[in-house]
Amino acid sequence: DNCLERAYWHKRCHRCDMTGHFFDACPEIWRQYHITTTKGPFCKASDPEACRKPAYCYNCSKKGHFGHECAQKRMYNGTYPSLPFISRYDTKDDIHYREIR
Amino acid sequence: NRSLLLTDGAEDIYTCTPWKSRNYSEGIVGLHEEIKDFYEYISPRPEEEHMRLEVVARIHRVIKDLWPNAEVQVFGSFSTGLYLPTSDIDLVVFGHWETLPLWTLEEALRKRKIADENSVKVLDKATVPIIKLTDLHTEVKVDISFNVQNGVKAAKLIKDFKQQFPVLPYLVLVLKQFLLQRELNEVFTGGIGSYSLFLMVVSFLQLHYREDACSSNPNLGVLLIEFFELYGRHFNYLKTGIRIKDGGSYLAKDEVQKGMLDGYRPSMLYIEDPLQPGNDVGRSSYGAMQVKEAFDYAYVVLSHAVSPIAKHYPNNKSESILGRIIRVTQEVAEYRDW
Ligand SMILES: [Zn+2]
Ligand SMILES: [Zn+2]
Repeated sequence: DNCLERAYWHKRCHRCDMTGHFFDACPEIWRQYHITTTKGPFCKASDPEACRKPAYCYNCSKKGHFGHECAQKRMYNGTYPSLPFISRYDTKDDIHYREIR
Repeated sequence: NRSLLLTDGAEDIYTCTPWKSRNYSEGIVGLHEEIKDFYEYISPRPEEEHMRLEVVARIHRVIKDLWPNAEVQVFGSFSTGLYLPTSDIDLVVFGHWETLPLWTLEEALRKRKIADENSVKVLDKATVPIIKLTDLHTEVKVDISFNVQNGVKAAKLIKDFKQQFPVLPYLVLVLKQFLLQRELNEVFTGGIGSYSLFLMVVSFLQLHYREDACSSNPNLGVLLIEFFELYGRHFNYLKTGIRIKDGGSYLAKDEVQKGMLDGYRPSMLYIEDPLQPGNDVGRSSYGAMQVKEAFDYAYVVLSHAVSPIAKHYPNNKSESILGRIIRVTQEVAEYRDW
């Protein structure tokens, strides 16, 4: 169990396709509420990938790409960037499925 | 009452979450509700504002009696409304003196019994010399400086950004409380000053990927966790600096260094002052990495607390998600209630 946990670099999320976590710990589970402030159905961004232009990179400081896309070395090894957009919003069934797990 | 049985003495339970007045929704929506309640709770009440204005008036009279032509202005958090009950009042005195009359004013403040004898301190060796005191009647702390324009200009800038980003006050007050209780809110104790913190929040919102950062009703819980995520995990303090002007961008620190005099290096947390581009607001924040660690901790705690996995943990009525990273001490809660 411990060994599995340590092999975090093998983790890839089915949900957002990023490395470093599994789908049940995906930050998108909370991030998808970005414009939802009450219980009930999600408010969805009309274009979830609509984003700020120009992009600036928090990792290498350059203009033109976002930090999660950066190929440069990170400040600390073992930190993995996360996707700042919402790749998909959960359906009612998704939420229900998580509740009963 | 079950929770009463859990306390060991006669004292009432104090939960350290005095803002909690109702039960919150689950997860991140609950965190959003809680941040709103915290903001309502911690924001200045009319009596507190009134009390602070009286402190200013008392000091103003002393200064005017000494120098009738001097001008006194309030800046800092008291003028922008972004203050905690324990925040200082910042005053600046404008006038014409050959040497700054720090000791003259200090003496007058003692004689007129504005401040407790032992509370008045003159810091004449500081970059910006100031007088520090604690008001005798209210115990509010006051910093007085002389002929420094920047603070007043900064207050104007802060008000403008508050207009542009409606969520700013919510994030700033939570973060101020977060740093305050870890003693990371003052540069001389190895933390970051409130101007640096403010500019970090502005940069976070300016460069936010999604457009909802400037919308009027985004989820504040998501934004708070994303702030901790950015400055606790992702931001590369070694290579990247913060620029606020012209809508915001990042700067390469090695480029910044080329423009500096020999022997100077950009600080770990490099923030270009939008009011004075040659000035690094983050300089002397030698504890910036401690602040980063604290933000990382908050990211881990909060992102876990709002995750569906956390629901398998014990849950009760007095539970609070925000309370896992900030607490208001009983003294402060009582101070506010009188
Ligand atoms: Zn994921
Ligand atoms: Zn990059």
